[in-house]
Amino acid sequence: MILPYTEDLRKYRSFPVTGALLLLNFLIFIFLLNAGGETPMNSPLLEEKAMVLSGRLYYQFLQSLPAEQLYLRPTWVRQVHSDDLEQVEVLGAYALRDRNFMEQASEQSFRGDQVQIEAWQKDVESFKDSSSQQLAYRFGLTSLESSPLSWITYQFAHSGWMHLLSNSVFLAIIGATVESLCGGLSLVLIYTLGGIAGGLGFLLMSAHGTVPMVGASASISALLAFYCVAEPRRRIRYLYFVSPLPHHFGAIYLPTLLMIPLFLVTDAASLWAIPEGLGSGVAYSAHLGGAFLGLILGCAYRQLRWPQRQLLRDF
Amino acid sequence: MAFVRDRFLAFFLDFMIFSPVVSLCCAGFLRQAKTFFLLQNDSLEGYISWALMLVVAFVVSVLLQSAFLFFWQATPGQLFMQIRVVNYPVPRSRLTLGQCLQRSLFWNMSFLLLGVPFLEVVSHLRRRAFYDRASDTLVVTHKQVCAPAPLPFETRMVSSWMHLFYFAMALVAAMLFGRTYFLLQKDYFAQTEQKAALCAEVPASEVSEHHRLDAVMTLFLMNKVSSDCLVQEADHELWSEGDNASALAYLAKSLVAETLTEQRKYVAKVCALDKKEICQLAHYIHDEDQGTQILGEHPILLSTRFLILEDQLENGHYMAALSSVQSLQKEKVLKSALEKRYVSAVWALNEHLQHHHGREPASADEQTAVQEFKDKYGVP
Repeated sequence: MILPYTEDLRKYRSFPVTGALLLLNFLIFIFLLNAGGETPMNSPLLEEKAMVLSGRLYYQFLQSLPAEQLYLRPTWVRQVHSDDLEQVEVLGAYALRDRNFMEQASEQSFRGDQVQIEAWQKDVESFKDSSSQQLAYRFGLTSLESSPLSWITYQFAHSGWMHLLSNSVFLAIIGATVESLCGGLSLVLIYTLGGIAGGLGFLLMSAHGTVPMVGASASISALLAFYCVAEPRRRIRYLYFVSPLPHHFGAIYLPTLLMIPLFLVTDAASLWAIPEGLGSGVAYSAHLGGAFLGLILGCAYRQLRWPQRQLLRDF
Repeated sequence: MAFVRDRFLAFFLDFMIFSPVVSLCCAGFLRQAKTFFLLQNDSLEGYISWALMLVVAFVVSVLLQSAFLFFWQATPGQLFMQIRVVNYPVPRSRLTLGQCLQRSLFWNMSFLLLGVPFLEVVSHLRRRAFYDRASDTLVVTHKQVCAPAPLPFETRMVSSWMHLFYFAMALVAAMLFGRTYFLLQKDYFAQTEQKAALCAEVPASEVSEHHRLDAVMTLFLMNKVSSDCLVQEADHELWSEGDNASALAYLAKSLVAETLTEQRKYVAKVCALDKKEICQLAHYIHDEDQGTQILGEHPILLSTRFLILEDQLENGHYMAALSSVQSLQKEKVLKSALEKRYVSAVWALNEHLQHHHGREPASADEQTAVQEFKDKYGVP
């Protein structure tokens, strides 16, 4: 196990803005947790038989699309055989992520078992209603819900305790580091702009998706990338632990640039490894979008003259 | 010599640095493999993609390691831990490219043996594992203090455990080889046929396509096929025929409906599509107070005729039941399923004849039916 642990972190009172961001994330999470509505995860649409039915109906929907819209869908979707129920079930899982299909599902007429189709259309409506009531959808970012405010609110919303905790650890470490480097205002700027860039990256990769994105990961990626470029030669202290034996645990100083393969290259590889049209639970495209902006801001920071750097630090 | 802990930490750092790069190189193959397995669990293309991905991972690891060893005489982790890889026993200023490739190749191949060859770093006198000895290299430290040689006890213990492990691996490999050969002879790896859209419980050769659903529904009413089979047949008709789907398919779905509401919806759909025999059949099945007179005098469907047969057996109309059985048994798929009812009808008829012997004369048809049964089964 190896974790970054800057020595400055012990002087937590020196990082008020980082502390404020952490507190904001925590408070918003508590608020969302208490105000959460009925979960759509109990919907009958998510059962196996309903998935097969969704797949059959989605297959008919695809056949009705013009060629230019059909080719926007992943290749494997177009290769599904309607006779193979296993493939149809997988197609049904994808169908629930297709915004265009879900919007038209209730009104469109389908061929087949009309009794099942009628019940399915009612389930779709109630699924959409319960999903829209979920705070993850209202505060998160999707191609369905992309109001100006959601670009900001999604950065402070999290899907669970582990999500919040992992992001908070990284925010504490890297936020304190960036704040000590260039001040609280820059930290907030990078955090917010990085989140917006991450949102852009996410929407570019899932323009037709219905799954919302929440979390501060894109903002944290921006801070990480900013610091890697702004201070490439600085060494960061890492704590390592191999075993309790003597000399098998301790501190080691590694260059900042090591964070690039550790986090950013891994995100790129993970994004590339996801099959077309599917998600993985982690918005790697948002991480990369935020990191890209962080790299640009880092380069801009290095171009600033020394007096201006000093001014930012003193703010 | 370098300390073991430094070498281990260097390995850990190298893993952290190299694995994202290797992952990036393999990501495309992994994506392809996942896509193939998405649509088919045992996709051959998926397995091939996996294999190619492993080959790429291996090759990229070897090349990355070789490049660092050639240019800097150390991997990134070794650089951080002040470790270098040098020529041994013949001192030279730099490692050759061949040495770097050889060392990297054997280093990576050590993982095929679950990393056990690395234990030689602990046991060997000069802490040279196989990959070091094969490439004439030695790992040294630039720190002021260097690692001592292992104790004789350490060397003996680790060596003996390694030899035991290699023996066990060889044994397992031999067993796997034998098992694979055995399975090959038993056609375990033979290509399986694609799943059919129709129910496998009713072979296609035993029933014509025209009244397949009717036959399956009749078998379902006889409890000879499962509800999943009936659903599969009905769904096939509903989803392939679309708007031309027959009322019979909806009737079949009503038989396996999970709730009463759903059942009523299916029955309503049946009667919306068909006002005659099928609708009457639906009402007969689902409304318990309906008599068979609702089914009409000249039913066409096998299911209707079967239900009439059941009613005839229940009410003691054995000759009529026998006639119904013989008529239904002309369908190949129903022949063996109705054999029990044939025997029941004849047996009941025989009992009836014996019970009423003398009080009323037996008809020629009844006696003929009983005699035919006796001849068929060799009953005295």
